[in-house]
Amino acid sequence: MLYDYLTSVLEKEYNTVRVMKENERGVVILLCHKQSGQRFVFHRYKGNGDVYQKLLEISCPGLPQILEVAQKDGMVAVLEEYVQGDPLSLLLEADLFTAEQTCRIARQICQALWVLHSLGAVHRDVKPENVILRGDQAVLIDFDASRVVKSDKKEDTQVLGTTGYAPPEQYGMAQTSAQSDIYALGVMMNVMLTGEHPSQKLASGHLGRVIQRCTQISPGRRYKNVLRLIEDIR
Amino acid sequence: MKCPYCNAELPDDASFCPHCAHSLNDRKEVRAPRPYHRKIVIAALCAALVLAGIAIYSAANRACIYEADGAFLSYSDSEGKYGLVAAFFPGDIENQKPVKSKTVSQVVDEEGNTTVMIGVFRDGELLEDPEEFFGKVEKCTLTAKPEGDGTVSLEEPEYKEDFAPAARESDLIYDGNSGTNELCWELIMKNGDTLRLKQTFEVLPLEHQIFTADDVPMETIEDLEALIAKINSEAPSDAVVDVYLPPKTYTGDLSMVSRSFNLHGDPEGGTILRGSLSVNNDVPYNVLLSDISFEGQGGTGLSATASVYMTSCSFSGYDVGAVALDGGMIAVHDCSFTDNTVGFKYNSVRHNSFDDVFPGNTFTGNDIGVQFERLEGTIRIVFDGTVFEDNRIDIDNPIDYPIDTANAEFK
Repeated sequence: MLYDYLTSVLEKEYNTVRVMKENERGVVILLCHKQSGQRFVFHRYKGNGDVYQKLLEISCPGLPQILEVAQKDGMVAVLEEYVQGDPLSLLLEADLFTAEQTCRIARQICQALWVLHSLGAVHRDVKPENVILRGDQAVLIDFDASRVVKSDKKEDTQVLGTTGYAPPEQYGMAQTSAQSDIYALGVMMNVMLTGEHPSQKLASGHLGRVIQRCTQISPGRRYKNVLRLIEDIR
Repeated sequence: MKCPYCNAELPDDASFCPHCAHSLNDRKEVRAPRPYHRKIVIAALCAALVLAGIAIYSAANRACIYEADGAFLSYSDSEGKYGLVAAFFPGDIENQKPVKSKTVSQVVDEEGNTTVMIGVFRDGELLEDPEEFFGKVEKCTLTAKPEGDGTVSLEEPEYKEDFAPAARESDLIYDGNSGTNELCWELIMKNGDTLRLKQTFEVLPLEHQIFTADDVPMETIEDLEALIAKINSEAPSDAVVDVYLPPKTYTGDLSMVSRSFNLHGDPEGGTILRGSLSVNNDVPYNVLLSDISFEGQGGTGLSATASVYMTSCSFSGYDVGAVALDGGMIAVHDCSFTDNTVGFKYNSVRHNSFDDVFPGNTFTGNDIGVQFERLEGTIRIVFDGTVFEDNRIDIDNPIDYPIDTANAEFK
């Protein structure tokens, strides 16, 4: 009932500003509330909305506020706060980031991931396109690929995430876990510093070593959790 | 449900009102914990362990202060578990009864004294030799901390055989202005430990009224009867009243009923009562009689069913010079009993609380000097310094009341 109600009201009382992303799984649309002019991001996709459901009750500076989640027949409808800012990917088109900027953003993403991981969820699509810089605060968005970790599963059933950022286990070698997000964050840090995948060109110095540990093939050899990673990002 | 902001009808499980764009659910703000570098954490843990070790070592070897909330303190060492009991009487020590506070009444311009003591038990049993414990004590002090302007004075605590089983005793001297005082026993042990027990000693000031021949008529026995009536009706019940009689001879009987007062004759002699004085058991305080010559022609000179302390008085010519009756008791100091049928008689159910009840008295020419007709109790009566001379029977004690005549003189 909530799913139908939500989509129906959004259709009537909101304008579509633009389609932000669309693929075979679903669509992400920027909406504007006709009455107040407020903007919201609306996701409609085929899959699981458990992570969004968990985020519904929390607020965290590094995560968008999830306002409503409704599910029906395998479809998920999510209304979330529109995070106004520049995607990291857009900024990367202009220039690389300094080590200091990279550290600050990486730490903020780690903090957002810690909240996510502490809810038993994995983002599974950490990449520059899903990081918005709202002022000085980096915000991790788009949980469409995320999932709640199930400890009894050996492998992921679907290949999700973005090629290049997704770790080996996300291609079916093992079940995704917090280490999967650490891998993707390591890749993203390397791209911020060098513009390249670490397998192509690893960042130099201390951060290079941090990235190397983040992107180990074996999840067990990566940082145990994001708090350990934050300790080393300096 | 209805949106609290716009009143729109919403599904019950809605978290957001899409009509007015307000969030409806409560959110918990979550932040990642501030990370600590492991090396710092490990170093801090090591430092904490070292400090904890030092603290444990220090605690194990440090001198401790054991402070009792009241008059009982438990203290243990390798030789046993000790209990320290502070009290004001040996009987309380014997009964292992800590006495935290004592209140006395005292006239403002007079001194009084009491005893303060401490006893030691080991494993629940009274230490027969308190030095077993006090051998471990470096210093024992008793101090008084007055709350007001009044003061008390204390002797240095010491062992006194008279106050056994108390291990240490101190005489405390106070007056009516002494007020409330916190008494603190402090024992500094040779191992550095400090033991403290606290007691409270309170003195309630009493009003003091004095009557002399200059204030009121004291010429005749009738004048004295009128004075007694005045005292009974006018003196506050908690006031101490002293009546100082002039060197006169009064003929007749006097009775002290319902209110106590002290009756003093002329120290130089000359205050004579030819008659009898009875002290009724309704009087609330001890009565002091001094320097009065009781001269009778039969009958009883002094009969007391209350507590009387008598000094420097004389009795002659009576059937019974003085008698403690029915719960009364008389302490007799430096008095003379001459030519009576019975000089002094006990016919009371009350034991005498003065163990030196008969110092310095003389019994001369009586048929019976002292007669124990009836007396309950076990406190020994000591006749130190008492002289018995020319009595038919010096001491008639058919009830075998415990007495000590070792230092009495029989002529």
